[in-house]
Formats: sequence, structure tokens, C-alpha cells
Amino acid sequence: MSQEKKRLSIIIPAYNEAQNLKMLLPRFTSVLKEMQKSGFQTDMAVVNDGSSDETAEIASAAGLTVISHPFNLGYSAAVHTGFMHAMRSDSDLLLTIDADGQHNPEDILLLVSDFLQHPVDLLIGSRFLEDRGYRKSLLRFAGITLFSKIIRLVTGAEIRDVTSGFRLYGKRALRYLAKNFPQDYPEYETLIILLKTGCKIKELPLSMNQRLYGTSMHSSWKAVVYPFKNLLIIFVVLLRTLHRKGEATP
Amino acid sequence: MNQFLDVTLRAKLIVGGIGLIFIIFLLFLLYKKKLTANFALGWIGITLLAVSAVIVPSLMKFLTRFSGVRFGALAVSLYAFVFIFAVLIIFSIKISQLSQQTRKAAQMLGILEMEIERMKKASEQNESSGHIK
Repeated sequence: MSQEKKRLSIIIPAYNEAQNLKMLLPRFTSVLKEMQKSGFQTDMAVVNDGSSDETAEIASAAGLTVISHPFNLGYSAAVHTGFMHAMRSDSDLLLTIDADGQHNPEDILLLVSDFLQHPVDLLIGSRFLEDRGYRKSLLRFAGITLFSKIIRLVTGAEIRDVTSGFRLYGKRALRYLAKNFPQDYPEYETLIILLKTGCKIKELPLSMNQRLYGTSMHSSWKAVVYPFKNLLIIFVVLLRTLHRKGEATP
Repeated sequence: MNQFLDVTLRAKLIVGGIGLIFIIFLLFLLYKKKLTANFALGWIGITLLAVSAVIVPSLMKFLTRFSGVRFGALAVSLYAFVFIFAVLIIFSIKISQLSQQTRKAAQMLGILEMEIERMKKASEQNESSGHIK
């Protein structure tokens, strides 16, 4: 690793996740210390997406940077705000981690270490690369597998956990996505955009848990529209990449 | 092709009156800044066209022939449907643009608020350390 301090932004998009954050945030203390020992300058921010509970207060009490949207803008906007903040802070790396306790903060060290050894543009913490006992509903697993196949079909890249929110972005991907972030569901679109613009994506098998408290954004009636909306988005992204062929890559 | 609606003077007066009231209403909205000039102009234009089509028989005749529809009433329905559809599409585009702009503004508001808080804290810390000295 070079002597120059790298800047790592850790972004937690959160909407009414006060209960989960109470359990999750103390686990970051040792991880951040470890990162600082390894020569990283860390900036951890919670993007409070218009929560009506104590999400912002809990994050602020934990000494974290809190960026609060004045009202709920959705998951995509919350992640995008994190990208904008990381870019304004001139970060070298951006890590996104869910606020629901699915991801283990301790695994950040594994992701960063792997990233430094084998640099890519995006490193994804994957639930499905190895069987590590993650329990998933059949319908959801079928949906993820279907979209994984579609992404393979349109980009040629095999990514097993296409919806994982535990991701580490390199500087090139960070800068590109800060300016060109998807509007609706970012999971698939970011993958296709990055792959089509020549970025390298890799997965790292990690253990993940079920959400601690509350319900997932995919468990409401929106889940019915979700696959159709994503199919439409993938089609449009492909059209856009065909149209932009020859333009500068990130 | 000659079976057009026979528009009576009474019908012309009613349509003309409604058109006039509608235009006055649009001007009122414009005056009260509840409608932008772009939208007001579009509505005034379409009102004038609709009123003219009823008052001037040859224009109605032309529009009916142009659409290829046999009856004048059907031609009016067709044009009304196309117009409403176009308005809905234009409004959908406008709403999408506005929601994107709102999203960006809200995101920047969040980021700037956070940065101001940071600067405030930093300046408070500087001030307090200055007092100690």
C-alpha cells in the first residue's frame, strides 16, 4: 500500500432504521480504528432519507456525519447523495452498507483488503458466491437469479448477487456514478452502466444476516412492480449505451 | 363526406361564450401567477382553435376532411382525444422533470446543511480554543 493516506467514505442509506442503527453503529468503532491504523482516512455518513423516527439523532449521537433529506426521496436518491458527498470530500473509495443489519461491519476490512490486493472498479459483497447459510425466500432468490442471467446475457459478466447493497467502489466508478446515478432502482443499472463503460466488477463471498428490525423496502406492494420496472430500465440502459457508444468512458 | 354538424347560431354563441369565459379565466390565472405564460399560451391557442372550428364552418369542414372521419362530431371527438392525450404526455414529462429537479435540490439541501453544521462546529471550536489562549 502506498504511504499516501487514502480517503474512504462509508455511506449508510437509512429510512426509519433507528432500531437497527442502535445495534449496528457500535460495531463500527473497532472497524474504523483498524482502518485508520491501516493508513486510511475514514468518513462515515448516514444518509437519513426523511425518516420520521430517531435515525438522524442516533447517527449524530454516534459521532457520524448525518446528511438529512428534507423528505423521503427513496433508496436510489439516498445512495446517490452518498456518492455526491464522497465526491465533494474527494474520497478515493466509497463503501455502501445497508442500515438493516444484513451486512457485518467487520467484513469491511475483508472487502478493503481484497480491493487493495486486486484493484477493481467495484467489489461486491456476495451472499450467493458460496453457501454460507444465508436464508432467502424462493421467490426472491428466483428473481435475483433471473436478473443475474439477464445481466450476464447483456454484458457477458457473471455476477451472482446483483442486488447486494454491500459494495466498495473505486475512484473511477465513484466519480462516474456521482454524476450519472440511476433514478429508480440502482442495483442492476449501476452494474450494467459500469460494465458497459469498461469497468471491472468482482464479487467477494461474505456471510450476511436477516434484517434485524422492521420490513424491507422490497416487501410492500412495490415488489410486484419491481421486476417489470427493472426489465424496462435494463432495456433503456442498453439503448442508451448503444447510443453513447464511442463516448468517453468514466 | 358532406354530413357535417349543422351548427346553429345559438350553438355558436354558447361555444363562443364558453371560450371567452375560459380565456378570461386563463388570463386571471396568469395575472395571479398561478399559471405560467407557456401553459397559458397553449391553452389560449387551443381554445381559439376549438371556438373557430365551431364558428367558421369551412374550418370545421377542412378539419373533418383532413382527419378522414365521416361525421363532424366524430372529428371533434378525435381531435379532443388526441389533444387530451398530448396534454397528458406533456404533463407527465413536466412532472418527471420537476421530480428530478426536486430530488436534486433536496439532496443538495441535505449535503449543504451538513457542511454548514460542520463549518459551524469548526468555527465554534476555533473560537473556544482562541478564548483559552
